[in-house]
Parts: sequence; C-alpha cells; structure tokens
Amino acid sequence: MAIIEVRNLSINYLTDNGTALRAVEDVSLSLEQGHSLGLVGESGCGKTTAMLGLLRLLPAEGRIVSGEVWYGGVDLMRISEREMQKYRWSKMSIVFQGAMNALNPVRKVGDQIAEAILLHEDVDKATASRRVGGLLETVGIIPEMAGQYPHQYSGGMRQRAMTAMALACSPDILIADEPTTALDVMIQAQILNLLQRLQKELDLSIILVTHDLGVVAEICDDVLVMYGGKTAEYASVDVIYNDPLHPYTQRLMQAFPDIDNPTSTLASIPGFPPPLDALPPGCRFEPRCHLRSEICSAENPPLVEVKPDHYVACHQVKG
Amino acid sequence: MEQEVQREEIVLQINNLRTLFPVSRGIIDTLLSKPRRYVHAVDGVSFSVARGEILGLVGESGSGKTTTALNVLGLVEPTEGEVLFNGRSVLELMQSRARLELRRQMQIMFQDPYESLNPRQTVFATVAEPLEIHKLVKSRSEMVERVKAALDDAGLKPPETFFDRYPQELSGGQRQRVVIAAALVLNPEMLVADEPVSMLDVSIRAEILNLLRQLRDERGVTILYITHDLATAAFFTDRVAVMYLGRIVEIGPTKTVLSDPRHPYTQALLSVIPVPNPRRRRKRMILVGETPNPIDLPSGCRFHPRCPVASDQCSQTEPQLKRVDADHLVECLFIV
Amino acid sequence: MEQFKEIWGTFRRRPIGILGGLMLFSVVFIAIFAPWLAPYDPDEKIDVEPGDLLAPPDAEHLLGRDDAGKDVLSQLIYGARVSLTVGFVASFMAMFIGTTVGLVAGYYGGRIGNALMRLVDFLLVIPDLPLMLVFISMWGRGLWKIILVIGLLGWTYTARLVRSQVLSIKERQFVMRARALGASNFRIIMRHIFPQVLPIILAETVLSVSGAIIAESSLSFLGLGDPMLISWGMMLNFAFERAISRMAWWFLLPPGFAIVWVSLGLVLMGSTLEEIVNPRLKSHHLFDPRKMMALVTGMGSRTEVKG
Repeated sequence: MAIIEVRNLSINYLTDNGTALRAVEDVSLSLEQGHSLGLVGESGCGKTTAMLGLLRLLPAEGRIVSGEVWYGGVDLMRISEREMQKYRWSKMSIVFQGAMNALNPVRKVGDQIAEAILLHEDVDKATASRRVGGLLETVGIIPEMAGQYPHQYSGGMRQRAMTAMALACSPDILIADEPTTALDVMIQAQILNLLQRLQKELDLSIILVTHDLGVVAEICDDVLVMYGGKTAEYASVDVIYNDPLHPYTQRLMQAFPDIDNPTSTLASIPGFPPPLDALPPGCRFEPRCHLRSEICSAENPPLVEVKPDHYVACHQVKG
Repeated sequence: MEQEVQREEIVLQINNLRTLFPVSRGIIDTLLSKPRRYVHAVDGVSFSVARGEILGLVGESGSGKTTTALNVLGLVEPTEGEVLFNGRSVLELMQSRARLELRRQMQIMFQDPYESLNPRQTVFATVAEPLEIHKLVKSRSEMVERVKAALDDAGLKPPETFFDRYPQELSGGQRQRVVIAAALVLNPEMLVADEPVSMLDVSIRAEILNLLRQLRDERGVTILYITHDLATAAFFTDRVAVMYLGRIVEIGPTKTVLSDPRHPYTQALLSVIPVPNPRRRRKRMILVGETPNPIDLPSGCRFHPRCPVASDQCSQTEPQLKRVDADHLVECLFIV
Repeated sequence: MEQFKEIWGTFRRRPIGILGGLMLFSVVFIAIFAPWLAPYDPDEKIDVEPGDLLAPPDAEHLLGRDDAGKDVLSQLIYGARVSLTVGFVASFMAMFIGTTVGLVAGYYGGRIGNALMRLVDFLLVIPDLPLMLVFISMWGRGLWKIILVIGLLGWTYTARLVRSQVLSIKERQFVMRARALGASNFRIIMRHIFPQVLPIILAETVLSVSGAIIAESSLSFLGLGDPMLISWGMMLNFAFERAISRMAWWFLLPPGFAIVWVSLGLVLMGSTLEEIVNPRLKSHHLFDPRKMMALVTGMGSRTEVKG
C-alpha cells in the first residue's frame, strides 16, 4: 500500500535575470508503507530540491511548476499553506543536511524537542517532556541528556537528537537528507542502524537522500537514481545493484569503491553534470555517456518500464 | 620499536612521536593548582615511508591522523619524539635556513576544494605563487611555461584557458586539480594529502586519486594519504596504518590488512563500511558509543571500553606494536 | 576586475544604493566644477549696500546673501570643496591607520596584538568630539590640523573590525596552504588576507567619510574651523550667530541641508556595499541549518515559505 505517491513533479528556480532553471523535471515515485526509498544522485542533481518541494519548503526563488503529491487521498500541491502546515512535521518530517548544526546553542536540547511537539499538538508541557524522554530513548540517547545543551552532545548525538525531533509528532514519513555525511564511519553505521530499527519498530516509511551508494545498499528497499534533475533509473535495490540498465547507474556503480573487491583502478565519469541554465535538448547524460547515439542528443528519453517495476530513461535500453 | 623490514630508501621516519596540546584551564583550576590536562592528539606513533610509497593513515575523528600530518610537515612541533625527512630532523630544518627548501620538498593538499584556493587569485597566480616564493624562475616566460606544464600534468587541458579563471568558476574536482598543480610546480618529493577527495562527488573521486597515483608512478612522489574512508584507502594505498586515539593500532601492506585484519578496531571498521551490493549485507560489528575524548584516556589499552573481545587484562596493560607477519604489525594483547 | 562586476551587480539590484551614489556624485561634481558653477566669487562683496546684507533670494542671488553681502549660493558651492576634502582625506587616513593596525594585531596576535587592542580600547572610551576640541584648541586652527585630528582619532573602529575579520580569515585553508608553501608573513598578509578584508574596508570607508564630514562640520560650527576657508560648518556657525534673529532661512538652511544630503548619500551607498560584503545579512535558508529548522518546524519567524 503506497503511503505517498509523487507524480510528475517539476520544480524551477528563478534567477535574478528572469531565466528559469529546471532543477527538477517530471519526477515520480511511490513509497510503500514501512519501506525505505533511496534517492541517489550527485551534487546538483535536484534530489534535495525535490524533497523540499514535496514539503513545500522551497525558497522564494523556487516554483513548483507542476505535479501531484498524493498522501492520504489528498493532493498536497493543491491545498493551502495553512492546511499544509498540518501535514508538516506531524505526517511528514525531515532531517535535513547539516541538521546537527541547527540546534539553538542556548537552549536545552530537551526543550527544543518539546517545543516541536507543543507547536503541533495540543498537549501540556508535562506530557511533552515525558514524550521527549521516550523519543530520546528511541534514538539511543539516555533521557537524562534532555537537560543538556547542544555543545555537550557529540556530532553523532546531535544527529540523533534531530532525528528525535523529526519523530516528535509520530509522522508516517521521514525524509533524511544526507544523514551521515560528515560523521565518522562508525557513527554512520550507528545512525543507519537506528534508521533501520525505526523503520521496523515504528513502521516508518523513509526517504533517504544521499550520494553514497553504499549507504543505500545497506538499508533501502527501492532506489531512484537522479541525474540533471530527472529520473535516470528507478527499481528495487537488488535490481539497481545487480542489473543496472541506465549507463549512468552502471558507471556510478563502477566508480564506487567496493571494499570486498579492491581493484586497482576505480572508474570515474569524465565531464560534469550539465549546468541548469544550459541544459542540452536531448538526454542530459548524453555528453558523458558511453552508449550514446544520434537520437540521444536530439530527444529526451522518456521513463519507460522496461521490466516489471524497473524504470529506465534511456534510448539505448529497450523493454 | 622493533626494526622494520628493510625497504628501499626511507624518505620519512617517525619515531615515538607524541604531540600534546594543553587544555586551557579556567581561573579556578589555575588558582587551585590543579594538574594540567592535555589533549593527547598523537601519543606514541612510529612508522616510516619509503620513497615512492603511498601510505594511508586511516582513522576517525580524534585518532590523531591530521595532527600527525601537521607534525610531518613541520607546521606543528612535537612534544616528544622526532620526525626525520631524508634523515634530517624536520624541527631543525624548520628553524634553519633550509626551511624554505623543506617547504619546497613537502607539499600539502587539503580536504575542502572550496576553501583551498584564494578566491581573489586567478588560477595562474595560484600556481605561479610557489615559484615566486621559492624564486625558482628568472623570467616571466619561464614562469608561464612551468605553470602551463603543471596545469597540464594536473589534467586541466588546455592549460592556457584556465589561466584567468577564478576558483568560483571551477567545479570541485577542477579546484583540487589546481591545488595539485600548485603542489607539482615545485617538483616536491612528498605530498601530504588530507582527505583530498572526501568532499568530491563519487564519480570524480577516482579521477583525482588516479591522477595522484600517476604522479607517483611518473615522478616518484611519496604520498601520505590521510582519510577516514577505508574504502578509498583500500584502492589507493600501498600500505595502511589504522589509528585510534593517537596511536597506530595496526599497520601493514594494504592488501594484507584488509584481507587479514587482526586488531578488533580494524575488524570493526571493515565490517561497517557500506558495501554497494545488497546481497552482501554482512554482519556489522557496530561499536557502541563514540571515540572517547583524547584528554581523559582509558587505562591500559585505550580501545578496551569499546572492544568486543576485551578482557580484564586489557584495562590494565598497555599493548605494544607486535609483528604478526613480514611487514604487518598489530597493537593488541591478544593477537587474534 | 571581477570584484567590481560583483559590486555593480549588487548596486543594480538595490536602487537605493544607486540613489546614494548619485547624491554623492552630484556633490563631488559641484565641488570639482565650483569655479564654473558658482555665480560669484564667494569672497567678493558685490556692490554692497545696507539693503543687501542678509538679502533674501532673488533672481541674481538664488539663495540670497549673507550678513556681509556675499552670495550664499556661491559659498555653498565652494563650501563643498572643503567639506569633501576634509571628509575624504581624513577618512582615508583613518582607514589606512585602522587597517594597518587591524592587520597587524589580527595576524600576529600575542603581545603586539594585545597591546594594540588595549590602545584601541583606550581611544574608544574617550568621546571623539571633546577630544578633537581639546586638540584644536591647543594646536590652533587650520585645514590640515582638522584633517589630522579627525584622521588620527577616527581609526579605532576600523581597526577592531579589520582585526576580527583577520582572525577568522587566517584560519582558512588557503592561508594554511600558503604557509605550508613557505610564504612569508608579509606575503600572506598582503596577498591572501588583505584582499579578503578589502571589500569590508571599502564599505566602511564610505560610511566613515560621512562621519568625517560631520566631524568637520561640527568643529567648524563650534568655531574651530579654518578661518580662511568657507565650509558648510562655518556657514552654519555664522548663520547661527548672525542670521537667526533675522529669520534669514536662506542662509541657515542650505548648509545644513547640504551636510545631510552628502551624509545620506554616503550612508545609502555604504549600506549597499556592506550588503555585498556581508553575505550573512541575507543568507539562504538552504545553507543555514537554523533558518531551515525555523521554517520546517514552524518555530521562530516564518519567512519565505513558498507553495
């Protein structure tokens, strides 16, 4: 049962001189309840923008051009801002990039988490505080730490505290944007373990946004690979890793070091992603693609279900 | 320290290096004459690097890898022990007239491509600057030639098109290449690279690491590669040293350490590195808690509070590096 | 140079900065071309008859005449020269001293840094204007003396500002790289640190010119200006002494208005420059985790939430 369905989401950014950058174009996804989806891509591919668009948290220059986001029988793109606020945090929440630095240094961590609860639910302070204790425990922090200040927490602990804050109103969906960047490998493992546990114990649905293929392989059920603002490939994690069909996905796999098979040469993909203000008319990956042909530079490939539940946007890949 | 297996010419020798930083005391503690506390950033490290070798220093935060690098470069003074570069003490060299020559022979690369370059300097000026500092060229045309060659060797082709560009116009990978060019232009003997690719996209990391390896192959540059990412170290280094709380817990040829890790910390690290294949989800040894702070060190073996196989003895006795194989040393009471 | 393009770009987006620039430019223009613009020689007494003293504006004297029969408009135009000269020169002097002190104190730190900062604190504590009054009274009046007094006392704020900037810049990686390359301290300061501080200094200079002009006007108003030269402050001084009882607004208002005009122009320009220079003034929520938090959870102020 899909808990959230995104259809053809497109987001533009307006620049100072009026041109529109097509940051996200025609992205669709479907997240099953209790499942986790990995949104994979490199910097500038639009994955963070897409998630901010989902929550309608784009900056002033961002415009949702088209698309539907179906949750609980409602298209979130059509409701008013006031209505949307009821969904944010209580139904869908986000632990965004750099969240560990988002805590107010002069307030106790417990108070900040409590405030998130008080703002969205009609409970008294005592109840909120109790829930804070429970939340901290859920994320692996001893409840007594609620009375401490952010600087007394380590980096990993702050990340957990932010996760606790995101869970404060028991949302159905958690979006985690690069939750493990800038953390030590062992702490990364702890955080990923935590997310897995939450998924199982709370039946939480997770969208994990990252550039790290290893992380996605560890804990995600499905993977959506983005390139240049569009979906390149979308399939289950097993299929993506063992039968990648899009040339970008294939090359990305080869560029990622595999500690079990340390080869002496890692592949890299020459060139760089297209600048958003100078998008090529055809496939956005074509300039760097090893499989390209004439049609690729002329036409943008549509996303096609080439095998059951395996979507690829590439002219060279047939169903 | 047991004698290491003889390798070819040793470029860098570190002997019992300790670098402690005093923790600033509040006024009350000073008045009460409480004993000074120290951050044990590097606490007894010994290793050597042969010419043309790529040695990886792998560790998490608090392991002391960056401080070790700063000691090697002579930018930080050791509290105890010595750093020998080509047989001569780096400390002495830094205080003598040979200081500038040392700075020419040892170069550094940092992690953040967005911060490594002066945003108000063109690419040309950045790469030419080392030549100016060391007065290595006599004419403008010679300078242009050398800058061109350096940019070309760093993979920025055609080099002239990059002369007047500013860092903001370049991508992360290109900026790191400019940093490499600026290091190359001096023909250094050694390059200390502190997390050179961690802030780059995955698809570009290989390029930069391949470039560095090419430099070693073609010019015999010795490389000290500092990282927290064991996966890239696996692919890039000849030998690797795993550090924890200021000490080396395991050191040896990369292939050996990765296929036959003997220290529980190395084993744990290897087990938690995410593997890009869902069918190989391995059993992860996730350690509890975080690396303790380097000020109040655990007694005995400093890893014992988190060690999955620790015994009573581990909290009382400090282990020393022991040889388990030809070139493979481990610091653990129970070599498993 | 691409910095100027950056600056110009910001100005285009902030018309109020351009307005300030125009205001300033108009005065500079007037000051430079004073001999051609002023209808009369300001010192010249033209056919003075008793009725001409403090005569109100008419066709020949657009701003009337002062109590000695001289044309007010011409005085105003020539007065611009003195005010601007003192403003710019004194301010540049203060900037130069302040920047040097800030760079040295920030980069070297230690005992030198502390000593310099104690000096700065000491000077900051003493109120400017009274100190200037004391100096001028002791030293005597004269254009250069005024410039020196304003310049030598006005550098402290800049020194503090520059020093705090230097403290953070010197920790940046490209500075560490330069040190690792073996660059001398001088090179690091001039090539790597100073260029990063320059934009802030420029913005600060513009603002400080306005302060210097007001300082000069104040000193002249209090009767301590150069007696040989007309400045707006002097005009105000005479106007207050001699014209106020006769309600000769044409003599009283113009110099005050001119001072305000120039200062306002400078301040508008200066704040626009500051905005370029201090990007934190308008940081984007995508890069500022705290702003993000406020937005997302609904805590704090709700700013740019777009649907």
